[in-house]
Amino acid sequence: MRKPRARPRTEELQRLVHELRVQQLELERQNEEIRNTRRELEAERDRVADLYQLAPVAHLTLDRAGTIVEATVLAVALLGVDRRRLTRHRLHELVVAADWATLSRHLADVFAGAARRTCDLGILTSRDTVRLVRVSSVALPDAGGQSTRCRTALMDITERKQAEEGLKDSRAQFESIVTSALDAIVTVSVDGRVVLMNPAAERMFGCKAATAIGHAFDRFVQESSRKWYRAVITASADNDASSPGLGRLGAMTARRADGTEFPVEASISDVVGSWGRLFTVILRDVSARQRAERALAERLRLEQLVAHLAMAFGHLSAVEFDPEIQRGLRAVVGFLEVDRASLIEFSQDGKVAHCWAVEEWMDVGDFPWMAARLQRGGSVTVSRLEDLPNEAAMDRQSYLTYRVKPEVAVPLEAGGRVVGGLVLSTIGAERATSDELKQHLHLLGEVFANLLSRKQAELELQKLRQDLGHINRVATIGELTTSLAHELNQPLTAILSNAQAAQRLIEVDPMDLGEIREILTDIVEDDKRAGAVIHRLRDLLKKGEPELTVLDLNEMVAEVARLIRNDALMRDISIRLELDPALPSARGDRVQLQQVLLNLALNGMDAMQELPAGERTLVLRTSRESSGAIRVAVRDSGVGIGGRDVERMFQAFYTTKADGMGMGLTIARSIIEAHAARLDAVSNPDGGTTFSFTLPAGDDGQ
Amino acid sequence: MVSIVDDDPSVRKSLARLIRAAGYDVEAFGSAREFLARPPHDRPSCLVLDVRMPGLTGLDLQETLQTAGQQLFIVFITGYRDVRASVKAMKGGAIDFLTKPVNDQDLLDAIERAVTRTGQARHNQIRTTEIQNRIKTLTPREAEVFALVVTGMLNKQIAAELGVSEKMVKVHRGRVMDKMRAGSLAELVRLADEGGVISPHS
Repeated sequence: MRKPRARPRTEELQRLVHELRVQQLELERQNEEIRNTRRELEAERDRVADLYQLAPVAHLTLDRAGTIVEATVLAVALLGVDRRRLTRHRLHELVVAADWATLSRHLADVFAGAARRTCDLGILTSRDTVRLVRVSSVALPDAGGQSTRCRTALMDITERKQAEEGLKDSRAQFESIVTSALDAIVTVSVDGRVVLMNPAAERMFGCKAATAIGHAFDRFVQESSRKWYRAVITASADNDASSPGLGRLGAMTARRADGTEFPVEASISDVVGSWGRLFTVILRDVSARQRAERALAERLRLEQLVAHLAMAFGHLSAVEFDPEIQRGLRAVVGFLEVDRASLIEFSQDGKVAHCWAVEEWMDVGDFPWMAARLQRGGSVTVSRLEDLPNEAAMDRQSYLTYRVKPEVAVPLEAGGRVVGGLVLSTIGAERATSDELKQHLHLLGEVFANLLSRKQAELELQKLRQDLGHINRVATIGELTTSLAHELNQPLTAILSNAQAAQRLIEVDPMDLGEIREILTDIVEDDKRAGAVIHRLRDLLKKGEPELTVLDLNEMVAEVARLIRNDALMRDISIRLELDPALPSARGDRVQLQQVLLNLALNGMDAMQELPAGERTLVLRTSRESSGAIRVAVRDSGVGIGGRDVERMFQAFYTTKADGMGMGLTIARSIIEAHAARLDAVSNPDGGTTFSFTLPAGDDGQ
Repeated sequence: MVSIVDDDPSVRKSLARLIRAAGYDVEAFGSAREFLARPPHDRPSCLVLDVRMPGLTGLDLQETLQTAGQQLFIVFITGYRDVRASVKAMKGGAIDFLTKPVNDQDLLDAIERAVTRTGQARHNQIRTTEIQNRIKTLTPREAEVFALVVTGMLNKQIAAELGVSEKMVKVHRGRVMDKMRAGSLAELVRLADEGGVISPHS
């Protein structure tokens, strides 16, 4: 017996939900980071611009050799050198050695033409620090058109340079994030054009940034999803306040350059800079995750189906068997989205014993190769006509006629034996070979295999029970043999004596015809009587399937009383019938119920063995319960069940009799339970025991 | 007259028919009690009795009749062979113990035997009564002599036994022979036997 499957895996679902949340948080965090970096970048840029505008400019006049001829106050302050030390000194003295060559080239360039030249030099200040100074010089032509002097502007760009370096770092950092991000990042302008696209986006959309930039982002979004992102953008573009949709995760269907579509999760953030407002769209391809989710959901559904089937098949009586299998197959058809499902049952000797199918079915018997292959434990996958195995050559034609429908058949094994097969038809050709489907079939197959093996075990048990019932009946009849023989003997005696009397009367002259006629009538009557006895016996000994018929329980009780009458006579037991004359009919198996009653009556008689002759009374009673059910009771005045365990009495092999098998009550109970009723035993207040059972009233029972 | 006791009406009826067809008068009863309640009559009769019946069984009835001193020859019929019951019945003096279904000849033979035995018994009964009547006419002294003579004692021995003269013994002996209507000693001994005075071997 198979345990019901574990409950659906809610923890798996919970884990999935958790994972989703983590991913969302991460996406949002990344988004935030990019936004921050961007903001820093902007601040830095603004600061640099300020520096340019506000930085004080110092001026020097230099000759061709770089000797300082004049210096402004600012220059003195900038260079941090005493003015006396400044003039008539070469600028080179203040420049770090590494930049001497630069300075010399600068001067050469300046005096070579009229253009302004610029270079950056490291200047050693008096405070022994090096400051980066931008030097911008222009030659000053004199009256003769010759230049001997040049005007040089000095600007301390140490901070600016540092800022610029920082800017470069920030930019590099930003770019590295954007470039290395696994998610696609696309910057979009207010009018919906692509401004920037990272490599991940290029990969995602299968499109080079160069070809996308400047074009509408719409081309990467499926029509139905455009509304969402446009709404977010428009909402924040129209007013300065950010749109509430910003930073939120949204689901979209994206479209690659080649037109294929895929699901994405996207979040949009905005950046406001000197160039206006831009939107960063971060997209993540969720098709893999959705596939995983779908697979998980399907798996969950499968588990539920399996659990449901296992439960439904868990306690199945023979009556519900066929409809329940049909329901199960229909559930499988619905789940796997196939057209047909069939369950084949193999008997012990490997023949096809039974076949259940949902929807029209080509009899498996028509395809012996399939049954044979399943029988050997092999599975069958037919998705095209060419897939038909060689042994199915004969069936090609019928497959053609039916138009081949992809089929998958798997063997069902239980207890090391192939008990059946599960056949599914009309499944997609690519699905027919999928591992996932096979896994599903394996799981479902297990449930059906269990069911089939249990059904077979149950049938065996039922047969065993029937055999045992028969044995018990034979034993019961055995107990009654002398009694029955006597009953059969009486009419036979009468017939013989009557016939011999007639023989004598024929010899007498004149013949007493009236008497002879009477004799013949009596013979016929007695013969009928003997026949009835034999008929009753045969009924009791009949071996076979239970048969439900409408029964007159009063008549049945009277019949049993007739059967035990002689036995009772021999044992000085008086039998009393208390029959409800208004008893409705009931439904049941006459022979089986009679056997139960006979068993209870004989038990009751046995229980009174020890009593004095005058006190042995067996009462057979029929009555109507308030519920409408009919109660049949056998009451003895015997030793009673005393402290004996009533439950144990009904167990097999429990007996208080020296020569008993201990099967009587067990079988009686199983018969009664098969009639959806209950067998009870109670001690009578005035001694003895009453065994009784109730049966539902038949159709006319109102 | 044959009486039948069987609780099964059709068996009872068929047996009655058969026995009547064989020329007997028949009376039938459904139970032992009915039979016992019938008015007594002296006609030689036989009882065909079913062994197993509700209430008093056939064997019970046999015992009851014996206790009551009614000698009645019984042919038992039974539905099944029960050795113990048959032994008990035969010990009780039953004529036969037949198993149902009963063959007519077996039954009628048994009835015939019973009837004959009943006749003989009745004849014996009459003779015994008559001898006993003769014995009753003897004087006490004659009776004493009678009792000793039939044991084979000589007159001399009897005289010594009774303390009388041998001549007196002779006189009494002559009277006994007369009163018992015995022609010889041998006949006298037989009469003594039939009349229950002595048993031949005591």
